[in-house]
Amino acid sequence: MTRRALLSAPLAGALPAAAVPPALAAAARRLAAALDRCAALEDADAHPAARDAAGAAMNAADEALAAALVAARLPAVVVDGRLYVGTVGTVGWDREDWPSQATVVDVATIAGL
Amino acid sequence: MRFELRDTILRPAHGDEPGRAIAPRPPADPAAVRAGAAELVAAAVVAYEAAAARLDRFEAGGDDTLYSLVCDACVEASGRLVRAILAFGGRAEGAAVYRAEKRLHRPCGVATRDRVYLALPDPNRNALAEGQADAGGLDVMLLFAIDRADVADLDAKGGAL
Repeated sequence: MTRRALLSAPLAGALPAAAVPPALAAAARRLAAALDRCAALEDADAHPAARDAAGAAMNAADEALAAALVAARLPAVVVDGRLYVGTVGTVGWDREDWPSQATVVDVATIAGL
Repeated sequence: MRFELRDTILRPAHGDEPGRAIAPRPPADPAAVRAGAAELVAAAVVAYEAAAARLDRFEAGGDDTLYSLVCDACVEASGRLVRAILAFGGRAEGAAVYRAEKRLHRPCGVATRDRVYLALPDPNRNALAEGQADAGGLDVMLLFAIDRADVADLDAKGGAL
């Protein structure tokens, strides 16, 4: 099943940009910074311990943003050229549960039809 | 009945005679390829929306066997759309990744006037290659469809979103 169905019940509708809580935008920017740091460490083939630490920080930022999105009842937000989508965890009959998380897509990579 | 080996020879679709070297295909016009790909994605979007609408109608109740078929059709349509997005959607180097320790596939998407369709990696099935499905027929990249009206755009530049 698609995540659309999972999200449509608890979350609905966008907020005007001015009504988006500043803490949510800040959480998005923290996640962006954590992502960029992870990517830089990957590119530099850094020590695994450093990458693990950065990955843990990114996961924490990820879950914090997901919680902020859910609290604001906001499905998705665009901040600084990145689209952050709150997704509930995949819960399956044969899979472990996964917590709600924010998935990030660069807006520039979304092809228009 | 007698079978002849030559009957099993597959002839090239563009008409070369068997036994002769197949002429190299002329280089494709990038604009034509892009237009064709966009057409395929648009068709996949239409098919998915029809399947999702049908699922919404049958979700309220009714025959279980029919509902199961409707579910299967929706999963299949979403899988086709994901594969079309993966083929068509651009994914720039440096695009965001998440949960790098799991080396997830990069997300990508396409946007229509009203909706955004994203192919997002499923952390639980990242061992599969892009485009592969698990034993249950579910793609490693999951479809996420969202109305543009549901996206709060703090950039508000009137760009891609």
